Amino acid sequence: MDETTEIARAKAGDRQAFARLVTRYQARVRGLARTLLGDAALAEDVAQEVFLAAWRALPTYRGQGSLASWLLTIARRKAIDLGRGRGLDDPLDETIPAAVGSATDQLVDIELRRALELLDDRRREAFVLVVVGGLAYGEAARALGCRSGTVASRVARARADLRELLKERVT
Amino acid sequence: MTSHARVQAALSAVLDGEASARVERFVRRHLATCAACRAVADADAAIDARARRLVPSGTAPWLDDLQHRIAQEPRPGRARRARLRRLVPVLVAAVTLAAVLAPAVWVRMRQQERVQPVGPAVTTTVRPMGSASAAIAAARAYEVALYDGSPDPWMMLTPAARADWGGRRRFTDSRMAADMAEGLASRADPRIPARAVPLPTAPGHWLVVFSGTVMSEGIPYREAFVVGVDLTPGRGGIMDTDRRAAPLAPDDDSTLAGNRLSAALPKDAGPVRAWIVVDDGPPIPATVGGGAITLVPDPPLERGEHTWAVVAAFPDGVLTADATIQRVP
Repeated sequence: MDETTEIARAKAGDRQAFARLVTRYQARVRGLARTLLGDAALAEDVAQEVFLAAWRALPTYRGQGSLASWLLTIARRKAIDLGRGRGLDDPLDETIPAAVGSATDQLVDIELRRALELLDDRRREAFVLVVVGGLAYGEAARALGCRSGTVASRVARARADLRELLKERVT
Repeated sequence: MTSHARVQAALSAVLDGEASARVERFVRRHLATCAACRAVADADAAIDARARRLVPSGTAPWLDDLQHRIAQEPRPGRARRARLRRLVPVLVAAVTLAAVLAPAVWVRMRQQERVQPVGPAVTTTVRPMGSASAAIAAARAYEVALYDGSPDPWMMLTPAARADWGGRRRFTDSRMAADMAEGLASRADPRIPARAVPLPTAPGHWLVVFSGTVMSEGIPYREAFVVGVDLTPGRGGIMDTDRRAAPLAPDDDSTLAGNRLSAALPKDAGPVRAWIVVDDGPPIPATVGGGAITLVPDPPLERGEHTWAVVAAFPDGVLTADATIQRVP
């Protein structure tokens, strides 16, 4: 069944159709929340709240942007709201998601998440939406309320910052 | 700009699949022969791959809980309608109150209209907006056609330019298709007036395509798409304007300090001609130098919110425009 039909059914109240959409997008939403928050448990809470909010707000979704873009926009807002109480000095959650690689890989992942935490907030959000969330610049621009040229610029600068921060680690 | 700098500036868009076919080919050709740039590209690609690994695999642990919670929820729309019904008395009260207070507010606003000149240094708040003003300014500056409604860009390409794009539309990618679909859907919205204007045929002209209001998730946005088209026979085609808008990104590089409007430029941008438009006024030639486009408005800006747009013409024929709103407290 194509996504448009699934969405139409979900909007009409078909909970099974919505469940299939949740299954399809849960990884991206969880990944975005986790990368923005740096806390696995909080990110899972955020992800669940995103889909509950999406169910309630489905009538307002008009299908003009992609569903991924809509969900990740909600996720970003929720992550910002729920993450606001998290102090900057809180320790980074270093739990690695399932399907990990070697010990070296794990170390590099931790380094990457530390480096992401060090990025300017706007650059991190743009990078995460585009690279982790898989959004096009135009979609990320709508989510961030800026121009797609600005998204391009922020992602490029985030990459340059990450390259510098991870100079010894990622080759 | 050196090849290395150009490649590294374009690399990020190439990795994200957002670069044009022409730029992508240029970057890939350079990478094939340049070890230094290839190392940067490899590092960026490795970081991207690592970042994508941060997406958890497997099923979310809360799926059952979510299904249970959704089962307790009313069907979508019903809760909203119920909330709206509850809001009706509140809205009626608010409208009544507004009607009562309106005369007092109007008097107060009239008093505040007497604004003072800007001080020597002011803090600013910046928020991006669609570059409608800039597009209009560009149209005025270049005496080009101003479109209300977007013609099909593919049809405006010359055969040579179409071949350069691989002989096929670039909009087959699903993400681009979604963007296009949104744009087309917005043009079908009865609230958005559309007016067809014939294409200009004189050679060497720029064309500014102005799309008007675009709907996104039910919210109308004033947006303009600036597309430069050089209709000179033999070398016509669409100019890549959006890529060059990045150096003028308003919230990163543009500032309003004192009475000085400034937008950053790449150091090696070459002999750029630029105009700045304030509050939809006429385009005023701006000073270009020291890595910036600068204008000191005379008379000075008054307190309040100002829209200002930068229009720049690069030596390679690229026109870029950007706009921002800033508040002078």
